[in-house]
Amino acid sequence: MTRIMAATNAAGLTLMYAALAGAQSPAAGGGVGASSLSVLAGVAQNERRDLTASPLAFAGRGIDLTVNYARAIGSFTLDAAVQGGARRLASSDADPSSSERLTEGQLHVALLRRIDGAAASAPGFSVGLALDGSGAFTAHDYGHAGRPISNFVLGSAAIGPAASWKQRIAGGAATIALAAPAVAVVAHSYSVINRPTMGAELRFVTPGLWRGAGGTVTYAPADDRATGLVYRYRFSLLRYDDVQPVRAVTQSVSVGFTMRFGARRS
Amino acid sequence: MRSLRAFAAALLLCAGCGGALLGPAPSDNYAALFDDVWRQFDLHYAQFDLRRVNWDSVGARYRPQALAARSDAELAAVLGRMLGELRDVHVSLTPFGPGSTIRYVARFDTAATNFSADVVFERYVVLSAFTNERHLQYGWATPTIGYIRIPSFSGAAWDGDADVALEALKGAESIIVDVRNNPGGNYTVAKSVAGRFADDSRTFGYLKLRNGPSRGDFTGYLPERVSPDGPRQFRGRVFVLANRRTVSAAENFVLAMRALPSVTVVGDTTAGASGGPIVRELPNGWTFQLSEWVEFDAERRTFEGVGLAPDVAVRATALDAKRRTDAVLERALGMAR
Repeated sequence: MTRIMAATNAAGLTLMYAALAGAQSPAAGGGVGASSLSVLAGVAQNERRDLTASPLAFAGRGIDLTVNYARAIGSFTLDAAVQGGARRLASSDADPSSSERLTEGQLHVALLRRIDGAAASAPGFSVGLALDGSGAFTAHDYGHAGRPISNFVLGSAAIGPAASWKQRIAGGAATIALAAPAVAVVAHSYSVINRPTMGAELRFVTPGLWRGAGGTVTYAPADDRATGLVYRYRFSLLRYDDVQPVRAVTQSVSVGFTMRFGARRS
Repeated sequence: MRSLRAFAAALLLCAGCGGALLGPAPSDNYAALFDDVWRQFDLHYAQFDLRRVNWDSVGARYRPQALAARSDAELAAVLGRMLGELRDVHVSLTPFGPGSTIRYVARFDTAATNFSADVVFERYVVLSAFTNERHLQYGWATPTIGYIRIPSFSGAAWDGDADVALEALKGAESIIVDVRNNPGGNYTVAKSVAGRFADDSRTFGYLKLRNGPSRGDFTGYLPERVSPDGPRQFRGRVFVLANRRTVSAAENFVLAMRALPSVTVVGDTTAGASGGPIVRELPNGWTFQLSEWVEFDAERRTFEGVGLAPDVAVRATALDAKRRTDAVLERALGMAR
């Protein structure tokens, strides 16, 4: 997992540099703005091991909601998504009486540019920068008689390279988007937070400590359709090498409705 | 359409691989379990210095015994002995579910307090009633003196029961709040019940919480405040009854109450066991508990192992118990009249 994430980060940084260098020259093609708004609902699968709460891994499913706005201007695409959900997790390592309730949310904003300078809406490869903010609130029940449920938080804001690849498939368009954090500010509770004045301290962390990757695979109607159904697979991987490390994997499959505004053809 | 199907199949395959990225399940052999317990205490326990315990040498002494254990019961016994070295009642191990908790037994645990709630309600308090879930028992000691007994602060979010009792005791000029033999429980509830007697927001103590991996990593002095809570607050004189078995959250309650100008604490010194315990778990499902804070009074003196002295010291004797009298309550009643 470490190697995959490190490779993703390094490749992404190189591509990001190339894209920004490319942005110095005039963009070819496109030039007309087009926007889309999508609302998706689905099922997410979480698997996580947060040693702040437990040495055990916990896994479970729950709802996942996403609102996604994308705008193409010339060869640039601004992609913003808010997503969140709640899941009930049980231990996947052993069978203790403990369980977790996880509530998490994420804000993702990416600015991408076509590497060939073509219109953003056309099939092809884009790179750029992504800003990700995320928060996870875990209510851990140790199943210990007489003790309250213990709450933990993990919040982060990260910036790093992003890339996407778009291809026309079966009358629609499939887009694969990836992002990886390069630097992050992290708030990870050292211990339970439902104590008097106990909170999480903010830490600035580098890729050596905070490694991750996230992405989506989206299948949407062709660009000349004003509305239609959209399908999305989303994943995120996290490895935070804190004193009490965290590893988390989230995957979701969603379906929703998309509406397009403005120019729709490249 | 064929490529769309292949794409969907690839996604289904990906969905099954998440667990592998979390790494292997933690080992639950005896060495790993021992090391996990020792390490969790190393990371979180707040009172090594206070209790003058060298955790490294404790670990070195007990680890060979843990490795030599031939059964879960033997391992639990070794871990129990190791944790006993801390002489902390908030430290415990629960290996086999409810009823299997192993913890240090302190001197106050077995101290004779010569207190009986039955005597109180048989001889001194009339028209008594319980709140809905029996968190509080209350009644009238005289036509102008109300009495509230809080047997425990266990449970969550029942502080509103204090409003029920205070409503029933409306018109009282004084109230006696009895937390003798109260083993503690929920800190937040204790503080919130104290807020029913607060005239203003006041600092009653300080906490230092363990907040990092080094044994010296602590927050600064974090003030603990008691503030007016509930729909209304009792503003008459208040007498809090405490004894050697007033423990933990009940001591937080005494500490908060004695910061209020209308409150007099009567009885014996409390147990001297704060700690702010947190629960942890092991890969085999065992749970354990440890103290993550050191608490100080308003003058920043720790009372761990010392207790909180009363304003008016009265110690019930065996003769009181034999005669079925309550010297502590009688003294409070005498002061309230």
